[in-house]
Amino acid sequence: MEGRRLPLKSVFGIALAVVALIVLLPPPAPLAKIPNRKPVYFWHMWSGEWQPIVEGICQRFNASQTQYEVIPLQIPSAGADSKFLVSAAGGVSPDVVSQMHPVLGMWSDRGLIRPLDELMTPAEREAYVREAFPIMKKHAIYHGHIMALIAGVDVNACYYRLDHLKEIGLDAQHLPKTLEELVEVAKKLDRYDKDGRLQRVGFLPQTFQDFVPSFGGAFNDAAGNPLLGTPQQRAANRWVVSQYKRLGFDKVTRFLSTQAADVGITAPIIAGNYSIWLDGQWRVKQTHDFAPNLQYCVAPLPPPVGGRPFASNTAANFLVIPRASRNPEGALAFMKYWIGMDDPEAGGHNQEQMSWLPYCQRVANAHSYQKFLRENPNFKPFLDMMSSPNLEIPPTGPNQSFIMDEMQKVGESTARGTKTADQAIDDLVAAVKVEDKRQQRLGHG
Amino acid sequence: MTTPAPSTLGSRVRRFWRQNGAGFLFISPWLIGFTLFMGWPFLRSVYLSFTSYDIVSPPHWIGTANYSSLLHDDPLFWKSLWVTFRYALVAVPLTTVVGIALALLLNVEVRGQAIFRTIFFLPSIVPSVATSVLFVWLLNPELGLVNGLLRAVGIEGPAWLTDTTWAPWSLALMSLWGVGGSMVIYLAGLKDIPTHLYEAARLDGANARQSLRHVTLPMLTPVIFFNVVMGVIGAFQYFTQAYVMTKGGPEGSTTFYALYLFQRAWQYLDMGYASAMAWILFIVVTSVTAVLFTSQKKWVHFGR
Amino acid sequence: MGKSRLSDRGNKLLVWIALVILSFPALLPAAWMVSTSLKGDTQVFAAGGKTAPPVSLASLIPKPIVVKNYPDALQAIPLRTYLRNTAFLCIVNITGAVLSSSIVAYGFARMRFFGKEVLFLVMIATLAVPEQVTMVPVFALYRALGWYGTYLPLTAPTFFGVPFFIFLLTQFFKTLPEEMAEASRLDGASEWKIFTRVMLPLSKPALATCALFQFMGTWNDFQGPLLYLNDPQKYTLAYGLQQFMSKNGGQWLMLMAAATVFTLPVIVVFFLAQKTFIQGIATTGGKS
Repeated sequence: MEGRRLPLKSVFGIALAVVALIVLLPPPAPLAKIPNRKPVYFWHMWSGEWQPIVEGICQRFNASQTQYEVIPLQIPSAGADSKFLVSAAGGVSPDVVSQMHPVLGMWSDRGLIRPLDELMTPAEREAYVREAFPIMKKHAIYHGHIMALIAGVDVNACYYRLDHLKEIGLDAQHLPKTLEELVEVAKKLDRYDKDGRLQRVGFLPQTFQDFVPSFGGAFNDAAGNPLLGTPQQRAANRWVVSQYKRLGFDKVTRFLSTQAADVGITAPIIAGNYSIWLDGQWRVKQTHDFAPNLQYCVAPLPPPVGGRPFASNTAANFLVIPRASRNPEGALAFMKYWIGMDDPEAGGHNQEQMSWLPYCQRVANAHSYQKFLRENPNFKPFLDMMSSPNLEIPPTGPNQSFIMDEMQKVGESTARGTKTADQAIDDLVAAVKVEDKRQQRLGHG
Repeated sequence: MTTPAPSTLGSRVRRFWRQNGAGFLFISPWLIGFTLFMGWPFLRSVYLSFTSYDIVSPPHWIGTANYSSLLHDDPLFWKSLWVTFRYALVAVPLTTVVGIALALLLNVEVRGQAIFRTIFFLPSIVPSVATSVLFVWLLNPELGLVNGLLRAVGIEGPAWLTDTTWAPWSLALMSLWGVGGSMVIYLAGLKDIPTHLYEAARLDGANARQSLRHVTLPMLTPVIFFNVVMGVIGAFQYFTQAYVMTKGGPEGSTTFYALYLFQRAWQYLDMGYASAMAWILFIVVTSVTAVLFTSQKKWVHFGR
Repeated sequence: MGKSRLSDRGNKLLVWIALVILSFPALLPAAWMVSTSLKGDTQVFAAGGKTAPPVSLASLIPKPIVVKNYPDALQAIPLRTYLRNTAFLCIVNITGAVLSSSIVAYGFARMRFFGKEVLFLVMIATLAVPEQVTMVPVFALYRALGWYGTYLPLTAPTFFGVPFFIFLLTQFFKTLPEEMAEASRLDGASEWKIFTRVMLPLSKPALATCALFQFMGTWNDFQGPLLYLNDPQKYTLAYGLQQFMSKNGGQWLMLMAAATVFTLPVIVVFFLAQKTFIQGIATTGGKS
């Protein structure tokens, strides 16, 4: 009898504790700091040394006008996507999201983000299309709609170690003009130790994607749909594999495993285990921070005979407005401020702080940005590449993440010699075809 | 027996409550919590597994298409299931044996016992970022300590994490550094064994090995059972190290089931498909667990 | 008697030697973390045209010792705020989890009621559902309850019994001798009294284990704060640690320093908790 009555106490106790918890816990405090402004919630992944720079941009925007307050929230990159998606599904949404992975096509197709042309005035839209560098438009415009503003693109060019070039009698004025010449120079720069192991590599290509634009190819067709298995992609991959073969698959694998993880100071070009290295413009800042005295120069990747000059695969850091944003106008105002659409001087300042490439020449001409270019002459070649039509974007479309993962596997299998160059591309094409079919059958688009 | 139906019902309810009510009250916190916080998400996720759902737009019903696609034309599904199954088959016995062995050693009253306990628990506390990077270095084919030691005895070690054959086994081996949690549970279990049982065994003339076999291990079986069940459930959901260290590579050799599920759900935005994967995994894991529970009567002793 | 004492001592020595040898691999992750946190850039990352040096035990000793990473790391995040939030969540969750789980476990272990076996299996089965697929509905649920942006999603569920602990404690309660409970029952004690006066004191090692695991669970939880909090003032240490993982590197040494600081309190808690395991049940076993 008693046994029946008394557990009630325990249940009652727990119920009481829960109620107390709900009552006593502080309710969510308002995040806004400035009174009478419409909040713009901004989620980004910029941590470490980048965070204060991003927060500086937010503060300058808040000071530049009286309508909106941008409230930044830094989200560790480990969970940024899942937080954004779960929140969007659950009805909580930021107003601006920054992203650096190639997901724009997927997000657009799934209706996660808002086309910006709905929000821009016709004049703004026209000005953007007229002014923006071609590569900016390739990234931002998806199936005819401006889906994002590009805060920065990563463009690749060759970093040359001048001290290494000197060993073989070359200098910044005598760089290879073709990819074939580059290989000849690289051969002279390779160094082996007494056991025949690679100690230094003249030039080691990383992914075949990096070379597709130079071989005249792209990853999407004119309509903006992914395009895989093209002759140019095959040629680029065959060339990359030929370089691994030349050095020896096993020797390269061993060499690569002796390389430290790339964390700033161990950047390949700084560590000096490569003489020529294809990398993004952001390395200029890193080199400046970690090895200010390094003697190097930068030039666009020389094209193969019959290929395209000033070519590069690119990645974008973009800003988007989620569908569920409660303040899309404020969001757009902030994004425009960031890239400098209305105020090129402010935009130039933002871009040089991040050491990024501006979206149009007008912002590049800003005083602050010009000063930055004078201080970092190695940044100039990248800016010169911006007007090139030969810069390409990664595959887009609803399955772009899947395609990116499969492309990664192409590199993994060919770098070890487990598949031939053409086999790997065939497998990529086949895998993507199967996935497209599956997606159709399962009712996605 | 002869009373009319209506009054029987009332008295039956009352009798049922008298017999079962206290028990239900004891477990009521969980019952309420389960209904409130888990019931709906579970049902919803079962529903989503029969839909095309990209997290963002509303789901729409596609029947069993996700399931049939998984079972019939997704080689990666089968591969990831196999990779995971193989891992569980190795990691669970390995961690069980090592966990018990460590707990037995740490249960002996030696100098510095408390410090040793802390030392062996340490790997479970060190954040996984640190552990992951350490192992990438240790298992480096050229510079790593492991291959260095192997070279010293004349063996050229494999490329471990960057070798398609060895990468999954490297991760299974690494699971040993996560044994601290179950070790602590074994230790608590050992301390729960009444000392009079040992004294009785000694009076019967049992030596150390005999009392280990006839007292310690049988008395530890409820805890062993617990750790094996949790180990199986955990192994089938193995994710973190593979995600941090190998990202499923090289060439898909460490694409564990949970990792593939994660990719489908959050990277390819196919939550319907991922939900179907989750419930297939659920059936697999609960089947294995159910087998373990039935086997319980044969080997798990509750000392009364 | 004397003979067995001697072999006892010999066995103990063997055990001790085994423990010392096994300590090396066990200590490696922590040693590496601490040693990296005390190094300068140039010691960790080979530069200047040289390949990285082979990993050896000698390279674990930083030369010279660089302490700078610690103040750098600690100033980079609002440490005191994070620590306070984390401690608060730990205390609330340990209380909730141990209290509710032990009550439920007693029900499963010692009470008789209809459908017990099935309900127990259902409870274990809930652990087999990957949380990736329930995350979206769970989030929607908490938001509908108005809990988004508060600590409730991170705390309230622990008051309704944690399946892992319920299972563990059930196993423990089942092993405890029935006689004492039976004796109290004959004296007219209620089930509640038997639970609180007889069972709980006997289960200290198991309860301490649960408390330890809940502490570690809350301490390390990154997903919860990530999804449900949107105010930097509310974040926890585990969240702060993730903030050091910058995409472009550069903060590597600070991360290791932060990870070391993050680990220290857990070591202390464990060191204190493991004494509970030693005391444990020994008093009831006739040793007294």
